[in-house]
Amino acid sequence: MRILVVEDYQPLARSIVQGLRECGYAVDFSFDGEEGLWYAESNDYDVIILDIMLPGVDGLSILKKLRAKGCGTPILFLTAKTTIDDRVEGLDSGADDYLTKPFAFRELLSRVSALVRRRYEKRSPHLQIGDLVIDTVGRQVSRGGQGISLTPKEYGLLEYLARRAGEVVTRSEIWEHLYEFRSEAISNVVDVHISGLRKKINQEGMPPLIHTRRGEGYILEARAIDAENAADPKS
Amino acid sequence: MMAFRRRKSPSGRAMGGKMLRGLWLILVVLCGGMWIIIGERMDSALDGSLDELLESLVEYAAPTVLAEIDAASSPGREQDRLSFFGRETYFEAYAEGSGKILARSPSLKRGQNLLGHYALKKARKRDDGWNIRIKDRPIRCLAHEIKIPGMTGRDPEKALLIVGLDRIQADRRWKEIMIRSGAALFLLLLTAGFGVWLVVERATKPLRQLVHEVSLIKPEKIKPVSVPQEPDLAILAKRVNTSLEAVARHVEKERRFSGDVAHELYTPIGGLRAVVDVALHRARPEPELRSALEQCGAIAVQMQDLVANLLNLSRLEAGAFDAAHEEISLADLLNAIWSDLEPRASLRNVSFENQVPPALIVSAPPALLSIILANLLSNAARYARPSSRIGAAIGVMDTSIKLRISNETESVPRDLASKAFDRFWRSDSSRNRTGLPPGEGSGLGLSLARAAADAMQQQLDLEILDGNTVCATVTLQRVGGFL
Repeated sequence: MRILVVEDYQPLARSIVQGLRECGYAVDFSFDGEEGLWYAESNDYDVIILDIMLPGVDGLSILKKLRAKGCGTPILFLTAKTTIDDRVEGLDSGADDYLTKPFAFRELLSRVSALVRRRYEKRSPHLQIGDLVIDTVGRQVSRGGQGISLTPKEYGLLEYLARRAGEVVTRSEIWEHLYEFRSEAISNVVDVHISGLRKKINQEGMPPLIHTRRGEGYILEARAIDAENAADPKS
Repeated sequence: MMAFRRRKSPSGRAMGGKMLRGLWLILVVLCGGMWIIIGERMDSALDGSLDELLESLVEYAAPTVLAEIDAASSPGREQDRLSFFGRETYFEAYAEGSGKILARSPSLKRGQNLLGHYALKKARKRDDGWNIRIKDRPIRCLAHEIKIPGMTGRDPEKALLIVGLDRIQADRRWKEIMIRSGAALFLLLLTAGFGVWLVVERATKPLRQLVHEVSLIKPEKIKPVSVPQEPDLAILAKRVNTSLEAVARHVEKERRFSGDVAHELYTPIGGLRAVVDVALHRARPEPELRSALEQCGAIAVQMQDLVANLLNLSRLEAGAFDAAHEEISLADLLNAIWSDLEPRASLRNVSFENQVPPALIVSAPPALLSIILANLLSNAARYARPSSRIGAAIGVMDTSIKLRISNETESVPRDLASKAFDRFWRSDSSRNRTGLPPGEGSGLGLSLARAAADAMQQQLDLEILDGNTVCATVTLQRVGGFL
């Protein structure tokens, strides 16, 4: 999942970015409102974490501009303003959630996770594809009752595919949602990560779950073995 | 009587009610006292009138009484009935020496006498009459000495003739007058009381309305009172509204300040918490933990500076700083302050040109002057355009100088001149400007400088010159050395 953080207080911004990346999110960040607005308009983020008091363009203005352009990305406000009026104004302006400073990082993580579920219309914190179970709260993966250890990037990739289970996900979509703006452009990095993920979740004797659709992308779904061989020899 | 009814009322009405009650009671007591005194005087006047009547009666009665006495002492002579002594008139004649009753009017029955509780001797000495009651009928009596011709060969004797007049009618009239006058007076007092109450109620209604509106004012809800039409009250109401506006501005300012302080502190606290939470979120090698701790330390220093600034501001406003003047070399102080700012300013190629003559000495409290100059210079350094120069120059007056610190900026906010000295105001919402460490630019610097200037009773102003040049001017007391 790809997240944008716009917060001008650098110690806070850097900590949030570090923590989210360590949890497998691809995170872009900006310390400035104008730059943050540009990021939000230029990319499709899964969640935007927005401070209200920003230099240049303030958070409320950014929110209103994005909503005016039809951007439905979930937005979570971070602010030190704690009054009910401030919260109501933020939520009425179109924000999806509001978190007051100071906050526990775990709470931020949970709220981001909830917004991601909402975005993909998957209300349950557990995703199941066949016998593969993903606990999005504890960020645990298991198949057939056996736990599977994934790197943060692998987990992020698997969760993204699982949220779009049954849909073809293109390489560019994967790139947009899992890698930061400033990531080095490596042409086959997606394929490398898909390959690594397949090795871990496609246990011996178990039907494969990640399928390649030539010329299009990848799809995560449980298929019958015969149909699997006919549709996707490579997986 | 409405003025006397106890009710929950604003203080104005209660006060007016007490005054009215007091006035009314005083009036009642005065009128009641006068009524009683007048009644007494009337009674005395009535007695006086009766006494005059009795004196006249004595003149006419004396010969008749004498004749009666003579007839009584002369057997065979028919006693003349004192026909003109009707049922309402009485007489008795007492022998001077013996006190023997010589004659009595037929209207006096056995056992009844006109002396009453007076002794004969006492009655003789009285010039005026007295009142007695015979069978519950009030009688006014008057005594008069007469001489009774003596028997043949005997000297005339003195006798005391007491004449009495039934005064029941007079008393009834008196009582009737008193009752009627009392009732009239009571009604008059009631009407007057009601009238005064009505007048006072109407007259004080605007004042009570004003008092009521003022009583509803609370610190969290200050709104102006309505202005009455009466000129005097209108002046009062306008003054009250002016004061309320000032109070409302002050309350709003304090509320906003409290909110701003909380907001300003919550941000670094939020940073602290995030750094610690993320550091503890997973196992980390020592260098990462060290980095997190260093970040926490930097944030703590920032919070410390913020709190120190807030305390300084509070102390300045409370007048707790030492305001004793010392002689200070202005140029040296400016250079010392700039030496702390120079390392960071030089990163953006911002320089300082100190045109203050080295020999110039000013008189000022050192701590307060340092606060002013440190904040002005650090502000200038923070907002100066890269590769520009900050200037310090002076203008000379008789016993004072104006120190001007100016800098060019990239853009000047429109509300700079009006808001620059407001607490926590920043030209934008930035907390991290121009590469200076996080946390600088808390929005308190110029507020502190202004508070310090006020404590020194000097003037500090900010103006915009030539579009993008900002100039801060502070007036200082000159001592000597310069020209």
